[in-house]
Amino acid sequence: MERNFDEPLFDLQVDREAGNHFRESSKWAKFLSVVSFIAIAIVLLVLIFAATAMTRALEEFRPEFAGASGFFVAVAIVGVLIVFFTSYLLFRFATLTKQGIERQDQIIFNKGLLALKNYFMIYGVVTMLTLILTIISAVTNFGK
Amino acid sequence: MNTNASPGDFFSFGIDAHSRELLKNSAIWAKIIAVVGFISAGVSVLTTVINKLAVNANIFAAIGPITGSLIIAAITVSLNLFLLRFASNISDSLSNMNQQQFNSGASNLRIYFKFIGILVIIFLSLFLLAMLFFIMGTGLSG
Repeated sequence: MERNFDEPLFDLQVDREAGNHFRESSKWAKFLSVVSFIAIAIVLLVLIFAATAMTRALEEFRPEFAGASGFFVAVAIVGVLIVFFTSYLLFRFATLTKQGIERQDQIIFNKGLLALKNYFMIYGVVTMLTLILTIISAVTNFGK
Repeated sequence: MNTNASPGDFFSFGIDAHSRELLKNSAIWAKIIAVVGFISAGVSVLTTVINKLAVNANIFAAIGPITGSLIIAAITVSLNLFLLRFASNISDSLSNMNQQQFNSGASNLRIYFKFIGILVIIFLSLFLLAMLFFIMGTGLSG
């Protein structure tokens, strides 16, 4: 088989050291994703059982938001969905990367890296949007 | 699909073209997150300082919130520093084919997740402690 000279002579390896780092990363990532799943479950329970009491309290203390309770619930649901999806990607990264290293399986390892890439992508978009909203809110507050 | 690792060599398989592409994209997004994190920390400190100094005539009353925002900013910056190191080490290692840099990048990803994990454990412990004090307080008063 002829060698492709565009490719480097020595490829990078997931050696013992890198493997240990990825395994420990996956251990912490799994812990974080499980904590997030539990937090999501608690938030959903609160939303289901206390949504009416919360909207009543909002209308009482901030009457200007009287008609907007549905909007706040919708925002909360979207937030929960984003957190759930990112936690799911983190969980996939954790389990697949660990499996890929232990089984020496390139395809499973790559699936784990794909989950990590998607996790960083969604997290990046969310942090950028948060920063933009923070700057807008700060500028409008200073203007008052 | 098993790769070209010998059975005795437990830890060693290659980073193929697909892995390289995924790691490269992960590094790009990680770098964006880190930079946005640094900017967010700066903006947060700036808005706290301006808000507190504008509202409080007494400068000593503003010290608490400003210190709090500085501590949060310091945590955010150090956390994102590990993410930035992961991103730059991984992208450099992919272009230089430097195994040591690749391992250093993987180590920084490990520290990043460990850092968040420890912060979550501290936060949960404080939350549980606060809940315990609250329950004890209501129990004693009731």
